[in-house]
This record gives sequence, structure tokens and C-alpha cells, in this order.
Amino acid sequence: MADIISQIETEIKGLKLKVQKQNVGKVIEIGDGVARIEGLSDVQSSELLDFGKGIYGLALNLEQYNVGAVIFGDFTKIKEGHEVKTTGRVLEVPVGEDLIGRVVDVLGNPIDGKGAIKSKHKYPIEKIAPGVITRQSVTVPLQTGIKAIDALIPIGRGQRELIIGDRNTGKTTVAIDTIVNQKDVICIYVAIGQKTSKVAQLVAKLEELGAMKHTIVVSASAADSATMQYIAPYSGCAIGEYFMDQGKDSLIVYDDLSKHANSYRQMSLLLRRPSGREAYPGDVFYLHSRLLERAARLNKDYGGGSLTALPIIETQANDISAYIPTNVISITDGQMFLESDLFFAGVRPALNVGVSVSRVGGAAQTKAMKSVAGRLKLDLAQFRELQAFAQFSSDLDPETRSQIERGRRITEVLKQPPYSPVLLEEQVVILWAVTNGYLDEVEIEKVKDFEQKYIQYLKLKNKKLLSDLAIQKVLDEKMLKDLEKITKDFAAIFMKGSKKNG
Amino acid sequence: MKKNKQLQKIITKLVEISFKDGKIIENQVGRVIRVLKSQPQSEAIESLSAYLKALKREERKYTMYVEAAIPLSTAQLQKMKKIVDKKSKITRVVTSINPDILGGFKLRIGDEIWDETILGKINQVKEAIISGRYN
Repeated sequence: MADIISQIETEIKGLKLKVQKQNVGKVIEIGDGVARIEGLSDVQSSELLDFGKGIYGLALNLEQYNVGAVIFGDFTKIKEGHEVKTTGRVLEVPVGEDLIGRVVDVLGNPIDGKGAIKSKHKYPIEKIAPGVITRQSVTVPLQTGIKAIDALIPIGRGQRELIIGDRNTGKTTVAIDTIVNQKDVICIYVAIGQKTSKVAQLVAKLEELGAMKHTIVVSASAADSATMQYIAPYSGCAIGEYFMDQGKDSLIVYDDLSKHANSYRQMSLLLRRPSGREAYPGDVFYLHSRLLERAARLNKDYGGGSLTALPIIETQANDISAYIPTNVISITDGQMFLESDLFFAGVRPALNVGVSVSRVGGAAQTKAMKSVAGRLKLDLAQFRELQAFAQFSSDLDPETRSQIERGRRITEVLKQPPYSPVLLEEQVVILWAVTNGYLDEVEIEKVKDFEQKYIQYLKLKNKKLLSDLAIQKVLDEKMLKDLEKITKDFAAIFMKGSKKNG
Repeated sequence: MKKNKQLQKIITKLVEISFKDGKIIENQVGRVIRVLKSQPQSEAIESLSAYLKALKREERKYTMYVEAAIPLSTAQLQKMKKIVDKKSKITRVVTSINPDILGGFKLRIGDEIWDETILGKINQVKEAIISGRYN
């Protein structure tokens, strides 16, 4: 104890105290988390304001004689006439390795009860996105572990891929699956305006699956003020940028940006900014574009790190042509569209392959996956065209019928339960088997059984093939020959077994 | 909105002519008030309150508020005024005694505050200890 006191004493002696020059103002109006302050003539835009009693705010509207500011935390303690000081700082959040495995609020304070976070570095929440010189194109894949995504809408590291769909279509599940499947990528999950119970469930699930070891959860729940919800994605992004700057790969999920736009609309209307379409302010596009532009893949001179963004947008009645969805679609490098009809039909993940695209992910796909995905896309496209005729199957010519049957089996293979990511090599072999017609004879109900047993059989008979595929990520001639032989054998055994069982 | 902006512009000009060398010209203020009063009642109230607010705001720019723990001598105040005068023109000095600041003084001109109080320094030490920036 005495040691600590003497240490503090010596350090205080070394402290240089200066005359403090401050710019002050007076609160003239307060309500709904927004204050109007008279004075503060030297304040900068987005500067942190000190309201005293540990309450801070952000200066947003700078007018001739007064300033519109939003308040973080409990604004009920602030009264008219309250003195406000400028701080000369912009809003910063603690960043670093210490945050991994933790649940934090928007300002980086822990909310998981696991003690204080001792972080050495701080990053400003608003930052200009990396420039052209610092970037390189997306070439490394980010495996989601979801067959449909990795094969048809591949995501690369540094890409921005939108997950869009109605409520309850599995948007969060896709994002969580992706987080669970990561090994060397640090993941940040930003919950914006969600129920606290849902966030708690999600953290418990991540912990159960062992994914919290590489994940940071930033939460601005529905109970938090609109201001907190507004800055949540920026603060999560700053945390991700730190890892990117360290040369690491990171992934950030914004769940979801529709609620973010809503909170920004609330803030803007209270700040009396002019409103535009659907009462959103004029800069709602810039709100999301400046955020998503911060996702990047840096080139080797700048450390070679990356930040992949998976923003989520909730649509109303599958309408992707609404204001916010179209904005975010145009900003991102592609979108995964999850459809409620498909979800209720049992196709899960309920990915609408026709509308979903990945604009840059193709370059990042492994050669092995590319070799099977081309055929898969073609088969699925043909199936979609012919699907309307599926109910007249008895009147169709054999070729059309076989195409429909193939499509059905592919759809069945692409179904996947939540929280069960599939390894790349396993994805490649099963997709290879289905596109090469080895499952054509298998009944649709038994496709899942076939898949499971097929992988087990492969592991038993030729484990080297799978491990080689995992390392080389290429399906060469020899591998193909081996695969063909094993698959033929297995298909024969499986058919025999299923006939026996009736 | 447009009307408000116009009013603000007029008020700014009226305030400008109400001051000379940092001092209020009382005759001028009286004349402006008479003119503003002659408007229809609702407009008169609005413009008068805006004018008075702006007048006070402008006056604060030329006033030096000094807060100290003990009464300061005239010589001390004069010295202070001389130093501050180099940066901005001061025409009025208002002093107040506040024992809570423990010692030193606090200067306020317009929106700016120079804090040279013991309380301010204690707060600086406190902040340094809390944030761990002292090392």
C-alpha cells in the first residue's frame, strides 16, 4: 500500500500542470438525448463535449450561436443552464487484444462482468477509410462453412457482403455460422438496437461453440439511447481496424443496419435536420457508405491485414427495393438474399441463389471449389428455369426430368442445419459427387444420410485425399480418379443398403 | 425558418451599431428598442428578445469575469486586464469571490475560460491518476 502511495506521489511530482484553457457553453434546451448549447464558439464538428458528472456528448450541429449535441448516457441529470466544456478530443474507443472474448458497450466498457479491460491503445471511432494506394484486391477466401455460400456466393477477405432478408429468415444465423467457422480471423459482432436477451443468448451460444475465443461483441441494445446505437457500428469498426492495421484478418458483422438507420433518423429529426425520403436525413447514404468503405484489404506494405464486413439489413415483406436496402446493396460488393418462403419450405439457409451475388468473391474462391461450383451454378440455374414444370413430371421428357431431379438433390445437399459449419474439403467432395450425378439414384429423403455416410466412408478409406485437398486446395487428376473410384464404390454400397432397408 | 434567418441578420446589424470600441452606446440601444417596439406586438416581442440576447452575447465578449478565492487588489486586476487586452479588447471587469475554488483564479471572456485555480489543478491530477496518463 505504502509503495503504491509513494509511487503515485513521485509520479504526481513529475506531472506538469498547465493553465487550462477551455471553451464553454450553456445548455439552453434539452430533451430526448439531444441538447442545444449556447456558446462553444471554438467547438469542432464531432468533438467530444464534457457535460460534467462523467457525462459526455458529441457536437453534431454547429450553428452561428448555438450547437446541437447528442448525449451519451443518462441525459436526465442535465438541466437547462448546465455548463458544457469542449475537450479538444474526438470520440475514441479502447482497442487491442484484451478485448477478444469480451462483451463491451459502445464506448468499450465491459458489460460481461469479467472485470476491467486494460487496453493500451485507443482508436477514433470516425476515421477516413484506407486510400487507393494502401489497398489490394480481394484474393483470399473467407470460408463461411456454409456450402451454399462458399460455393455460389463466395466471400473474400476484405469484401463487404450484405445479408438481407425479412425477419426470422436466418440472417443472424448465417453471420454466427461464419463467425463459428473462423480460426485465424478475429470476429467482431456489433448488435444494434437488439433485445438484450437476444444478445445474451447469442453470447452464450458463441461461448458454447468455443467461438468467443476469437470474438468481440459490441452491444448497443434497444434499451440504449439512439446516440449509442448510432455510434455502435463505428466503434466496432474501429476495433476491427486495429487488427487490420496489425496485419491480421478480421471480420465484422453489423446486426443490423436498418435499425442503425432508424436511430440515425431519430437523432437527426431531434436535431432538426431537414428530412428527406421516408423521413431519413439527406446524408443517410453517406452514413453507411463511410462505414462500409472502411472494410478493406491492405497491401503488403501496409501490413496485409483485412477487414471483411457482413452488414445485415432487415426488409419488410421481401421488398429489397426500399430506401435503405437499395442504398446498402449499392454500397456493398454483393448480397445474400434470404427469403421467408424458402425458409418455411425447409430450405435452410433460405438463400435465394438467383438474387444473391458476390461481385468480388469469385476471385477469392479456391481452385478446388471453383472446379465444382461452375457446374453447380449451371445445374441450379437450369433447375430454377424448369422448376415451374416440376409438378408435371410424368409428362416431361427424360432429360428435363433428370435435370429437375438433379436440381432437387443439389438443393437438398445445400441445406445445412445452423451452427454446423462444413470443412472446405468436405464441401468440395459432396458437391463434386452431386454435380457428377452420383446422387441421382438416391431418394431425396436419403440425400442427407448419403452425405453424412459418404464423408465418413471417405475419411475411413482415403483420409489422405481429404487432407491433401485441404492443404493444396486443388482437385487434380489423380485426386479425381481416386474420388471417382471411392464414390462409385460407396454409391453402390449405399444403394444396396437402402434397398435392403426398404 | 426563412423569416427567422432574416430576423437574425437584422439583429446582428443592430447589435453591431449598438457598440463602439467594445462599449454599449446607450442612446443607440434606446433608439433600436423604440424601433423594434413599433412593430406589431408578436413580432416586437420576438425581435426584442432576440436583440437583447444578442446584445448580452456581444457584451460578454468585452467583459472579463474574474473568479477568485480571496478579493484581488486593483493592481492585480489591472495587470490581468493588461495581459488579456493584448488578445481581446476588454471594457468591463466583473469580479466574484468563490471560496470553493480554494486558491488561484479563473478568467472568463466570452466563451473562453482560463482556469488557474487550485481546484482545477486537483482535478487535473485526479484525471491523470484515473486515466493512468501520469507515466
